[in-house]
Amino acid sequence: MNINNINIKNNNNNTTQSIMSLPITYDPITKIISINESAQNDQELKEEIDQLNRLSKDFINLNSEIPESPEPSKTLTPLIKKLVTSGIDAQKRGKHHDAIKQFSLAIDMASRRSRWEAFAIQLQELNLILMARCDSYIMTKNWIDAYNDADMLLGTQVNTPENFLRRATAASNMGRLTQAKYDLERGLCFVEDDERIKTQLGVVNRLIAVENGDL
Amino acid sequence: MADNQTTEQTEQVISKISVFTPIIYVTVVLTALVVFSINYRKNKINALYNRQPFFKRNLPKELHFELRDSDPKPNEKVLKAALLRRGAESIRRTIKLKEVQPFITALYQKGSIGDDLYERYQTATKLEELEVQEIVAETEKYKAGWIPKFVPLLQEICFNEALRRRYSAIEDRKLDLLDQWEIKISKDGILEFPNKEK
Repeated sequence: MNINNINIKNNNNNTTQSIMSLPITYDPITKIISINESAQNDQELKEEIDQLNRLSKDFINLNSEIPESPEPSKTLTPLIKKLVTSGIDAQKRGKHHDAIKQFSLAIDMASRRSRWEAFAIQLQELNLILMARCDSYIMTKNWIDAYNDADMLLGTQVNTPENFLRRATAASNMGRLTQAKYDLERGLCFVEDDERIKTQLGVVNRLIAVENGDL
Repeated sequence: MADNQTTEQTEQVISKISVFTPIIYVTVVLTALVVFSINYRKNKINALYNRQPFFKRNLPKELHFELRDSDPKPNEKVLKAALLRRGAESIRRTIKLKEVQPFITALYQKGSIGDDLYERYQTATKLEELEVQEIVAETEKYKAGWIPKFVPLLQEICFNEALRRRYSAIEDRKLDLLDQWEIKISKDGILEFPNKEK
């Protein structure tokens, strides 16, 4: 209890907000917590309340008192898979804009999974969709979105050389040549003789030379 | 020991000594000690109060307190969700603390960081231990024997939420990056690169 008090005091000092008076309202009918008008600018609190509302919604939809195991939902998995396959089909037929829509939908669908479902599976799923979407972005020359997807992929899955190639391709097309060069070199550390990365590195090196006036 | 010797010596020199002298001596010494200890503790507690916390405010914990103590009581599942959120945050903090531990220790030993930060780190570790105990106690209140089921869920929730947060940040990151790289978006959505020939 003592320690709690200290913590409370600390919070007070920093945020001038006491623990017992968070600007929130609870609606007993919808069982949703909402943020008061006065604190609309508090992004942190907003995010936290969103997360809590999501979790309690998942809980209310659950029949048992507590989720028995972190096994993934059996109803969502086929839906997501269907969206991904149709996205990949569109990609193969060259309809990249459609493919991007399908992949984004699949990601939205995947984020509807309950938060306690196994992380390893959710991560892998998201990575697969992001990779496919990133490729479609590259094909449609949407470099900044491609860069962002590849960036997130590299954050969660560093040891895939293709992701370095993806980010480098996007970066070099946005004129960020040095960064592309570093990415490609890092990618080559994982697979020494990947032809695609080597070719791209050659291209980037040439572009850098041109920019420096060496060529 | 030294006190005894002095008393013996004084007794040898001065034959008569008031009975109150040792009592006054002891009282003075004791009062000084008590006053010192009170002040010392006060200062220490004040320092603890005013110390900047290692982490930002613990919103899930605040929310859980708020909902638990609010009247009328929210739905039990909402309360449970709030407790799960609190536990997930505690897991995140524990992981972070463990992550930085070798670096903090190494830097502290080298003298690269001061006592203040190191103490803040240690307090945070202690607080986290207490927080975990509190969460365990809270969970037991709902139903005895839930802990083995609860804890694995906490970890999944913590990681999954981190993943979703990262994903939902993509749009903001995009704008930030464009801004940082001084790339402008024209009206029809095409990027204009400053360092590229048209």
